[in-house]
Amino acid sequence: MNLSQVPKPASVGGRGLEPGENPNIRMALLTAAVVVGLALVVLLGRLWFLQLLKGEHFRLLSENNRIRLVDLAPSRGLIFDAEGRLLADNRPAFTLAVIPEDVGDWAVLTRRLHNLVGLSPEEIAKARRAAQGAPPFKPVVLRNHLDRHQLALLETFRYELPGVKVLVRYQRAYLAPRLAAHVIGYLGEINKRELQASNRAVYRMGDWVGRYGLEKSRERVLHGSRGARQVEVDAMGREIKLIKEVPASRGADLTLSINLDLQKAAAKALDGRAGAVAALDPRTGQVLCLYSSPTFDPNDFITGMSTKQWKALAEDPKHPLKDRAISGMYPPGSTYKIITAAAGLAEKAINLTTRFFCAGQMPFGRRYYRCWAYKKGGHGYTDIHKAIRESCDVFFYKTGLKLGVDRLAKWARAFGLGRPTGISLPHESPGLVPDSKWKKKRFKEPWQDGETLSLAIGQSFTLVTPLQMARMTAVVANGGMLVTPSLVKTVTPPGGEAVPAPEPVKARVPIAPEHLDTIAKGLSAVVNEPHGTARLARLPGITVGGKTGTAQVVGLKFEKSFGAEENVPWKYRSHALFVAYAPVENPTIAVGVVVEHGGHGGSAAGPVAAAVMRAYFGIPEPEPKTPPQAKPKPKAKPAPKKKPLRPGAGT
Amino acid sequence: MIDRRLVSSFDWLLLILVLALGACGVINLYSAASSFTGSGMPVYLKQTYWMGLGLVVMLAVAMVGPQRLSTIAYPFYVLVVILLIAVLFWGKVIGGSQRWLALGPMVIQPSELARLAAVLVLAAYFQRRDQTEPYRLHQLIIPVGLALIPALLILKEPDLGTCLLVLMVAGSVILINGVKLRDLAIAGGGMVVALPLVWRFMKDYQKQRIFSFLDPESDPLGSAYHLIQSKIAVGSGQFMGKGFLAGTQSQLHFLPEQHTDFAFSVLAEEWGFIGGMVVLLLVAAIVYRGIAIAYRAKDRQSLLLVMGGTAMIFWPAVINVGMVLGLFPVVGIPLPFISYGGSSLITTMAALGLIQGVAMRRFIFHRP
Repeated sequence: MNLSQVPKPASVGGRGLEPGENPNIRMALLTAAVVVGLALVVLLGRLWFLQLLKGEHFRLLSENNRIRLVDLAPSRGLIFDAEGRLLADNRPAFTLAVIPEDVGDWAVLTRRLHNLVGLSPEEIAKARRAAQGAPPFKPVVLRNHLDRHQLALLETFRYELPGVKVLVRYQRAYLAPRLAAHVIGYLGEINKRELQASNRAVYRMGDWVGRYGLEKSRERVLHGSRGARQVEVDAMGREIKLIKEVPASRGADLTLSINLDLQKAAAKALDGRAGAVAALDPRTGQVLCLYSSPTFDPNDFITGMSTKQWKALAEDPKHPLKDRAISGMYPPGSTYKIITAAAGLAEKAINLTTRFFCAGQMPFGRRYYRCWAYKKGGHGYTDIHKAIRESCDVFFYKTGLKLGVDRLAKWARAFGLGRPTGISLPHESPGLVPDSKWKKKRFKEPWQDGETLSLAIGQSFTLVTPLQMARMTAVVANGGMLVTPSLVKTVTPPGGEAVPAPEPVKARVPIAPEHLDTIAKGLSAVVNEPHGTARLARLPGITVGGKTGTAQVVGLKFEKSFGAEENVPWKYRSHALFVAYAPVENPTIAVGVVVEHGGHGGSAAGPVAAAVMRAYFGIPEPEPKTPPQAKPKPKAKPAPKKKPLRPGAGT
Repeated sequence: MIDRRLVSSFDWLLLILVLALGACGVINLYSAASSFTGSGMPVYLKQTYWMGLGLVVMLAVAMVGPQRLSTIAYPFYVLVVILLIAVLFWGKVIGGSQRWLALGPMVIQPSELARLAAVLVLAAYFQRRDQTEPYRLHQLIIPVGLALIPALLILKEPDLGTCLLVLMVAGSVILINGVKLRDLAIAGGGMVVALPLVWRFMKDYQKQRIFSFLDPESDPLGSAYHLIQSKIAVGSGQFMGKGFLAGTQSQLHFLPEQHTDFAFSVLAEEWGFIGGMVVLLLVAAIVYRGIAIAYRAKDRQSLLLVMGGTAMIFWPAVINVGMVLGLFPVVGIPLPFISYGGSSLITTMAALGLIQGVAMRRFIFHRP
């Protein structure tokens, strides 16, 4: 290879910006070099200072590095009911833990613990495996919830159990477990994923966090902030000197608007039947009662459940863990006629003098749509007042037909249906407000006018939650305001004054006062006038307004195929619904009740609402007597012709 | 296909320094993360693979070279800004701040790319202006804005350390490019005045860190505890160190984040002053090599890319070691090559690619 032919580097002939040619850049690079040199000198100097000048000191410190950080968990805020009764408390619980680095002989310790408290070697090995990678001076929990007997044994033999510690910590205790389980919720131990996503200053491994109910939604307020102690310990791990302590600050206390007496009344009235009660103050939206049945004991989540217990709870066909009051979705039945009436009046489809003739059924398309009073021969000429009072289906069929599905949907939404109410609880259902667009999207079919008839009396696709029902009723009760239900009345920070929760948002429903007044009078008549459908909901001395509803679960034909009503299997019976408010003159409570498969609204759900309102107004219970058996009323339905039928109207 | 002059001009010394430092890092991680028995690959092995991938990235960036890099500077910058915005909406929250973005199976930290994007975009900008006299303040509005956009997005995550790093790297590029001294003094004075404003926008935990730095006794539980433990670790290493895998502070987990932010304390504990010095000298040698290459750069853009790349190695090193030694507040910035972290390593290697790319073209003369 001829070296002379290797191309020479291109000589710099052109202008080129050689840094060497630009004095400014030359200066800048020189400065950079000096800065780097200075930084190097400073860092090396610091290293020299720490390692050589102070090295001996630090070596000593590291050899006795017994400065430990002991975590101080905050205690959780308490929860009270509206009357100041304690609902959620913290009670001491004892945990058996071990500090790995202080254990001499694991085999000996394992044997002793097995003999003393019955811990199996596998359990201990499992706990150690789980704690691998953690600092050896951090306690490893071996068993929670020691009982008094175990505690005494451990205390007696403490000198033969090196490294073993009994930790006292406060654990949640629910004092009205079966009365407010769904509202208050429960806690669970924090998991790895949550731990990773959280701020390290707030949560640590082994912390308990809200998993359900208010415990979950108000976790931030309730949890408090942690503290710690810096302590010096001896070779055995015993504290010998406190260096510094930052106390934990406990979480804030919550006072709810929920009243335990009302919860009790609801529980008693429902008596284990599946169903729910929601009651709120129509003036403010504060929730007075929120009860779901069947219920569960949240303490089981704190003390731990056996697999069998958990399975029984999770697989119970009545789903006790579900909060029916906010996430149970039911067809509203005739309670929906409040919406149809409001929409009809507001949209001028009907007016205060409009009268429709009810002959017990109405021909439409190729079918007859029945009124529930078909057998009585119908209601005759019916105006809005009579239609509400006697729940005349034909009147509302005709009103609905004039309105059409989309205007009905608009008013259902104005009364708060079809979306979560905004109560601060997890897992709230939005319910469902169907309209023509929804049908197209969901079924790829246009909306049929026949469906509007069912819709107008609350059958069709509409779904509501009991809380939505109470809120809808509150609009009538408070003169047209859509309130946001709230549960927390005041928040009390540790050592501070109670701070009232911010006023919940209200929205005005655009409906004329005289129209609302007409509906209100109709609702009062339902309870108080002859021919009203809910006379069982009357209270002594207090005027109640209300509306019954019966939502069919299966087609009427199928239901009838079982013969007598008592023979219909539970799961095929209709849901009983009732909404009410009182006192009619100046309402302070609005209630929504659902009794699943309870039969008829007036007879099954009405007394439940009455019981809750009784508790609210402090009226003693009536002496027990068998209530007159309400006569079973046939539900209206389109006269069966060709097609299988959509469930008919309710009462 | 590959110009032989490119290969012959490759800066082998720089590569050897980098490999030496990388090896120090891997060896140290073997010890620092030896007690992590979690599932999956050991940390030191992961770091080795990242190192290998990093070398590929370095070569790729070097082959692309400064000329073509200038054409992708702006699109890359825009992409990084979009990722930074995305991370604020869809980012994974870890330890209370939102920094990671999942792209398919990969989890990336867009803030790491921001430094690279800032260097590229500033170099391209200044090259196009091609102004030889030092810049006046009003002429710096656009370049400073280009640096501030990603920096503020990172601050929002919140990640104060990385935000500062982007500003320092971008600031270095702007300063090297040339700023009139008088204007520089005015800007410096302005920043002192603006400091109280910045204070108002800081998160509580960030303020807390500065407090605890100024007065370690005030927060014995949080960062000051970490600082004390880190100082004990480093100091107790003395001249010769406690020996590999024998650091009591690190093996007993007194150190926080000992395989990432505090990896240097583990090294200083186990390898003593000797080890710490070797690492610091290696870093300094890499930085000086960068400055030397910058000195022979052929055009403004090459100069700025090299100095930007060098700043991307210098600043995190100074801040991290300064923090570990208790000179600066605790801010989570990894030490290049020594701390574990894929995103950080790849970014650092890309920075080296910028330097090599210019070094390789030392003898190639471009005609515009």
